[in-house]
Amino acid sequence: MERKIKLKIEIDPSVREPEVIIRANEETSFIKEMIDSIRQYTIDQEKLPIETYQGNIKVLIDQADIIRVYTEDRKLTAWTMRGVYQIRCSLRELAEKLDADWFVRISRFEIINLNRVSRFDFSIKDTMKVIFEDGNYSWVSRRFINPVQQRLSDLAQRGGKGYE
Amino acid sequence: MNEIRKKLFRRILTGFVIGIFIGVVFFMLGKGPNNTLDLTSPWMKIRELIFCGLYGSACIGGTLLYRIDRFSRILATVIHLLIIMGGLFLLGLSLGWKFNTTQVGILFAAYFIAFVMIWITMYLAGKNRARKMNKDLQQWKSACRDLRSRQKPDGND
Repeated sequence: MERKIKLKIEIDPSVREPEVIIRANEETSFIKEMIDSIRQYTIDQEKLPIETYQGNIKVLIDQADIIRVYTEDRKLTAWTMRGVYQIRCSLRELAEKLDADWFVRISRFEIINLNRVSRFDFSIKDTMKVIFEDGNYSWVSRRFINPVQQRLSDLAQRGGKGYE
Repeated sequence: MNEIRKKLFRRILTGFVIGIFIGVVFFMLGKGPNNTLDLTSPWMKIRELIFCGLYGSACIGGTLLYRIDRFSRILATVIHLLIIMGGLFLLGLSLGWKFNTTQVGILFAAYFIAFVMIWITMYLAGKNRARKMNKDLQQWKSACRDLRSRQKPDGND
């Protein structure tokens, strides 16, 4: 099967977001693969690995592996499926790098990966408890309960889009 | 912190207005507490209205206690109850109300029952909210799993 394609790039300063248009006489499996590749590339760009440290050793961890990120003693710590790592930037800077669908802030000091949440539980003595897949838990600060609930509601309505 | 201060200010103001409104309603009904007040004096009326406003501020402003993460819900409830009870006694004493042990007991029991009911309602609302959040979470995760399985090359057939 002929798999040659013509590539044409148009530079237009008025365009806000890059747009890819594929022109073909029919939607073949090759075209489908190409669409999947482009889609995957954009998703990969959104979910870039995070630079962390164990001592002085730099380790790149996938965002999917992160369970929670929290500030403790002015240090940013990432609790992941593979262990605990230090991150050398502020929580705010990290929040900009993390995928906006997966990660949500649950307090001034902590961001969690919703994808790694097992369930929420309302405790009789305190506030909303969040239990992770690895059995650890944390607490949602009272003033962050509404935003977390809203995010979950939005995600449920959108279904799996943005997850890939 | 600024957000909390703004909210506190708003609630104090709201409570003050509500307190004065309730005070005015009582005046219009002509039922001053214990009928011990000389409500013919404009100064007494103004003083009682201001005190009603301050009491309203304490009650509504105190609801912010439930937003402070340092306090457990039970602790916040107890402090709020003490503020409301203490505020009422201070208000009553300053306005010359006369209390006896039975009245104090009834008042305390009424407040206690009201707080227990509010607390149970808040707890059930919290449980319900957690249930809703879990449902949304599972719905999203399930949709994601479906999407992933559809996108696998083997699953395209």
